[in-house]
Amino acid sequence: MDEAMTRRKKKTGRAFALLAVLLLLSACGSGTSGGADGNAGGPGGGNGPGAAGGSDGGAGAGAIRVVTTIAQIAEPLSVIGGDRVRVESLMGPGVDPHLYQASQSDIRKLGEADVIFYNGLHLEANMLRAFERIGQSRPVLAVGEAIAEDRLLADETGAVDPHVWFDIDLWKDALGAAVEELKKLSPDDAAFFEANKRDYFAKLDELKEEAVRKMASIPEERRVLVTAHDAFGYFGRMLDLEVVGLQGLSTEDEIGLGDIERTIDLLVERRVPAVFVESSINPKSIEAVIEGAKERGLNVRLGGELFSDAMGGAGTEEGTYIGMFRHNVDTIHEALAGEG
Amino acid sequence: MIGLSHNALWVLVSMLMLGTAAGLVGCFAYWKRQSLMSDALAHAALPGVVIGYAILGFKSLPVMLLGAAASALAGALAVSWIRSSSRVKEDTAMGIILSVFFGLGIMLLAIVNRMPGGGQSGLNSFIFGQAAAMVRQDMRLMAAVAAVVLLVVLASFKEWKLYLFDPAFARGLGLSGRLMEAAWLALLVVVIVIGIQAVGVILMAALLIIPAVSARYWTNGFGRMLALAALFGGGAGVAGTCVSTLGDGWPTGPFIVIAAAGIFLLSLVFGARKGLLVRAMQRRAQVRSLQARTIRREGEALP
Amino acid sequence: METMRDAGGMESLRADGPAAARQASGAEPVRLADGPAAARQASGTVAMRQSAGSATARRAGGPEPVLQVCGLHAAYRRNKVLEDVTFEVMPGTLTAIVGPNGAGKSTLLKTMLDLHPRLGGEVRFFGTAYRYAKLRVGYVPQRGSVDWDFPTDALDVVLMGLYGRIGWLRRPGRRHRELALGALAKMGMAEYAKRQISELSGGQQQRVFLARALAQDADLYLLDEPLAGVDAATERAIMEMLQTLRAAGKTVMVVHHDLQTVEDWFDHVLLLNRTVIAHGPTASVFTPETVARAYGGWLRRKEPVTG
Repeated sequence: MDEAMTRRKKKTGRAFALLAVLLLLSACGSGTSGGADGNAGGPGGGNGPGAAGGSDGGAGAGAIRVVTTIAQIAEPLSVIGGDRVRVESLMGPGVDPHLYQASQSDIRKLGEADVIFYNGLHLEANMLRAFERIGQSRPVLAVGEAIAEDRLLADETGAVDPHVWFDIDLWKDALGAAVEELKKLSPDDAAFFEANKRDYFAKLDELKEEAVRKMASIPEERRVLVTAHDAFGYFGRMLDLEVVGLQGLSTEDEIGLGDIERTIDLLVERRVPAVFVESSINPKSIEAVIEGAKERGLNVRLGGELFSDAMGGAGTEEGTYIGMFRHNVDTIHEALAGEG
Repeated sequence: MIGLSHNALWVLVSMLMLGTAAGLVGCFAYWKRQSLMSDALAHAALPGVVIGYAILGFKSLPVMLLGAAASALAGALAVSWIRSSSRVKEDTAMGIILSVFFGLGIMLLAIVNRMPGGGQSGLNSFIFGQAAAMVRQDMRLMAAVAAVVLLVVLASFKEWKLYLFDPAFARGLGLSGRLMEAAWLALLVVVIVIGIQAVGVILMAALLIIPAVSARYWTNGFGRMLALAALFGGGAGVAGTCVSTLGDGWPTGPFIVIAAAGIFLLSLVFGARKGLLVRAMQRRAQVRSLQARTIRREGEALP
Repeated sequence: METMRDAGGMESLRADGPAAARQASGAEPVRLADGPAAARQASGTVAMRQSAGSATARRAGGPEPVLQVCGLHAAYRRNKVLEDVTFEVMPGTLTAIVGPNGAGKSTLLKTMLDLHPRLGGEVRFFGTAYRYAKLRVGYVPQRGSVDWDFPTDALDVVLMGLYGRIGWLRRPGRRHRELALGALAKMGMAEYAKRQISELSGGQQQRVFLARALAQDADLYLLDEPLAGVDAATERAIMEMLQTLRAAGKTVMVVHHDLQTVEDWFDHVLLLNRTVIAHGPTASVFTPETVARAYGGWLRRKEPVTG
């Protein structure tokens, strides 16, 4: 009986080995990327104003294939580029770019692109090597680094704040640099790109005016923006808001008691009525702040959810750069300017 | 307490309770020669947390903790299945489960983090913990867990002692091995699942292992070892929390582990029973007495 | 029916018990030699009833078997370790279980005590299943099955034998401590009561184990290799204690490793090599032929002792 059992064991062992090899082969050779990874946000869903025939798939032959990391780059470019570009972003809504690691399908997408744009300034901290490698065979541009250095913000340690898309003027510079790159790739479309860019930038100027107006209506002493993450430095500078984040600039850091306590002190001192969470951050740290403030007699509300590192879902208003920005402004305005 | 904010107090008490419970349970793990099991099960809890979120689509702490418990238990079952049905030794089996489950958890995290709203769930914080964000509810939960552990340990103290020392004889007296094994696993899983919110999956094992080992160096009594392990665990929790308030952005979990390690080093050197210092002193005393006796004998031998 | 207490607090049996038991044990087991054979032809449970029948017949005249094993089967991993093991043990006997390595001696004890899965067969202690007779059975496992580094002292270990009597949620009282101390004293370990067990020698550890068994005050004792690796003095102390137990009417079975000393200490022997080769009084059953059958030519021939 023992012999029969050993023979059976050998057969099952071999079957397992064969199965394992088959699985490995299929994984390596799979040509389609899963629908769930990376590009759910996609190229702004093609809902940006002025993007007639949609900017993915439906673009005409010879459309420039653009791959970006964050949707804040992708969506405006899809508007400006129209049907001459096919834009895709690797990081969808709710994704944290500080921690994001490129997957196999991402590398493949990068490899199939004509041009790659990323934010730079150490935002996509884990992808730098991938960009270096890809940069040897196709144009790769860090749009954030196209901005004049003296206009960038830095914290006490000297680390540069990478969330430049929150300053509309700075972002116009960044997008402009990207558009120049597009023009280089397709000189025939240069005029087309330029015209669209000017239209889009006009809308951005309108957005900025609206934002400044709304923020100015908040009483001075209440103009404090408290969130879980120091992403709003440029936002605060542009709109004259004091920004306090619970963590450092990157979400890689674990939060400490000292940070929570300092934040509560500030809230109580300034009697700030609301704090905000973001779509990509763990709300538990904010909850700790709220409860701690409550113990000290200050009823701080959860002001609402802001978009910090990521934008909203594809096909929604918040999935566009302008829509996302407006959402943030409105949410903050409502919470802080409301009842005292 | 003077100078302590409410948040600091909540964190302090939470970590005190957690450290105490972990110290007690860790003693059992030590004597069952299953210290690695604590590490394996802590790591095995990760995929359950992620699945608990993914099933619902939104973050619900009870569900995620239940998921963590379920996957930790699945890990325990897998370990005993491997042990009983193959020649693989226990520590190897635990190592396998630890890496496989943890890897599965990381992979699931990567998938979930790409889904909209994925980061919102705070799943990543289960890896390293977020002790600083403990609030009153967490404090109550950890106190309850510590109370339950203490109750179970005290109520069946001699039964635990017997079961850990000689399980075969215990069976002969009518003490069901399966009941004790189930109770032990339940305690371990509960402490792990509650603890990983605070110190994370990776550091949880340290809290379970280090205080128990440190206690061994001070005493030769089982009951006293339990008490000391609880004391060291709770003490490390308090000390680590206090130190982490001193600096800007200092994370609480790792400092608790460092405090525990510090206690271990002290125990290793100064431990009253097995510490290096005590042993060295004993040896020196023995050598000296031997020399004295030799001299005396030689002295007597001289005519 | 008086019970007497000696200094150690142990009760000794009725005065008429041991003698009757010894008489019965002298005759019965030999007749059983054809009993199990007949049983093997029938099914397991039928055989049980047959043995029970003979037990009833015996009850009319004498004591019942303390232990009845019928058609016991057990395996370890893929190998059959016990095959159709059948025997009966009468009270007041001191039996050695011998056999080559891997013969299943330890497994036999463990399987009878539900510590090892049973593949088939039936085991009866004092006429009932083990779980109802637990308080009357004392098990002394192998010394190596335990971690002697555990932080406890000798007295504590002996106290563990009394946990069944102390009950849950209660702590050992002064009476229990005295009982335990008495058991230690019987094994000559009284002054080691507070010594850490890690500081004890092999022989001393074995004595502590036996003291624990004594504290249980069982009627049937099963010991797994108690004489392995102990010094001569301890061996004598242990065997004398076992003989005292037998004199008091208790029954003792010992998994024994040393063929040379079987005849010195044990009045009964069970030769086991996966199945029962022979079982009965040492004088009649322990012969070079049965030993050879059990050990299958493993051993050096033992010369018969003259006189």
